[in-house]
Amino acid sequence: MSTDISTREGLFKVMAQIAAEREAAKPIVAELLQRDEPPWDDDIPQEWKTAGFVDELTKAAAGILEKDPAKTLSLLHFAFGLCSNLHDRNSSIVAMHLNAVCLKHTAYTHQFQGSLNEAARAIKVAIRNVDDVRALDHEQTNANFVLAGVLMRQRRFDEAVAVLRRCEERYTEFGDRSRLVRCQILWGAIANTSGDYQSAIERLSAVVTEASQIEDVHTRMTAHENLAIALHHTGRQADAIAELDRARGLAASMPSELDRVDWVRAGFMIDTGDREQFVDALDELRRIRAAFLERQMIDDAGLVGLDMVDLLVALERREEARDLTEDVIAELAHPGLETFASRALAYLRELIPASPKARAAIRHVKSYVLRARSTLSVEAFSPLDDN
Amino acid sequence: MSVLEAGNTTSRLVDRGIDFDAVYDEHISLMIGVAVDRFHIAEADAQALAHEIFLAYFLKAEEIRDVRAWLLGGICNASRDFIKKRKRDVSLAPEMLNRSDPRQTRAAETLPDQIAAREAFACVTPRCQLALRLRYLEGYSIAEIATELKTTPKYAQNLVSRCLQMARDRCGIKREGD
Repeated sequence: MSTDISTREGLFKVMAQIAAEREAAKPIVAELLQRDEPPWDDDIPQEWKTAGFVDELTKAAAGILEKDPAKTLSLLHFAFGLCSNLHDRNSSIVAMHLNAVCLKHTAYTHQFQGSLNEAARAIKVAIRNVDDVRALDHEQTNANFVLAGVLMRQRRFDEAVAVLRRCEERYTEFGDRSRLVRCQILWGAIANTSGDYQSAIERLSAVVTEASQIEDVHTRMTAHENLAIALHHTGRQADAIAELDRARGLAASMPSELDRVDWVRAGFMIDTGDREQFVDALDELRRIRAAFLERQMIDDAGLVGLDMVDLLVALERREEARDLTEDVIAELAHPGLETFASRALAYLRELIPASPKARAAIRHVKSYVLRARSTLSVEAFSPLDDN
Repeated sequence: MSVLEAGNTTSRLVDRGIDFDAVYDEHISLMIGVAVDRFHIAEADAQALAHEIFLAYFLKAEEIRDVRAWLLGGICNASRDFIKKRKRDVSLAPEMLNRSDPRQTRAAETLPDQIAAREAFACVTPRCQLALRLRYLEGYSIAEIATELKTTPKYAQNLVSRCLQMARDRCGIKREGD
């Protein structure tokens, strides 16, 4: 039976029990992190069926996202399964909180790997599960904040804005300044992604100073990176590079984010139209793609690959471009994209050897992939009109 | 590091560097007072709400910078929600008072199923806990489970079937009609 927390004694009994479970879990979780896979097919020891254990495991899994996203997802799945053992222990608030936090990190990991539909599904389940739990309003808002980010990446801007607006209201009620700063940065990122660069500059310039006071390095890095992109698109190249350098400095301890910042920099180099810079950008993209593939960030690796194909065509290394295209299309052929894979492959294979419009076609395919991975119902692929 | 620091007459809960007794003593009266004075909630209900919020705070205390603002924001939101739900409550007519809740009429039939489902989760492997949870508690389709686990729908279907069988074998849960 759940412990009654309406008395001080009951409340502290539950909290002390969870604190003790967390302590007991630490060495076991540390040992689990060393394994290649959690023990999926063993019987679960009794001491693992506790809130403290699930909490420690979830935090530990989230903590290795940058280093090993595949292991993070595996451990989060394992922790999520263990949530099934928490019904009758502690208080239902504890079980629901842990369930939501686990799903939130699962969604974030999917997003990190570029699996936006899976991210959206997980975070919507998290939001639904705590919908009627008044004490978990803040956690539900955190889940909604993750949803806003996923919707932005899915280019569903109106929905992202609506969700983000609700988050801001809630965080204001909680007096949560650091989360409100994160909201401002997401506003800037939405403006950027939707092409409203001037608005992005205004929002992000206003918030970078305040962001420098919060501890979350990732958030600060994101602010500078987005500001750099907006400045680049409005022709303020020197300022853009300076912001990107700041982002790079902050990303030093986050290898995947560092690679993403370098991907942005390579994009700036491509936009110069300077062939010498193309060669440097190509080397950089090759390194980034290999790193993404190693971390199983398949979609992003594929998109980097398409940038490389674009550069190889620009450098008239068309045979390499065609070979790489086939690799990329094969990598991107996950469920839902098979139709795209076969048609787009045939389309690019025909164009790359000789067409003067090959670069436009590659960008057309890249933009199709970005759209296709953001929706479960993939529209049919159609070639460029003027081809 | 979490400890129950034993004093002469009492022990204190200190976890992740936070003295929860001190935070409780500093804020709980204020939280209850806000619920009672501003939202006109009965003191016993207000205390229960405040304790729920405090437990939620405990679970994520290391993320919260402004504790006072967070706890006050939490109790205000919880109080609003409490009042909203209470307004939806309608008093029962006197003749209804002795009738049972229609939702509970099948309780005797469904309760064993619910207990059995929980027991089923408890006695299968972690892989099966995940598969059964995704399928039966979170409403994932077989195709969605396959995507989530980065496998094929056929494998996902087999996994769920195998896990159901494991639950039946290990927990003695009967099939419908057995």
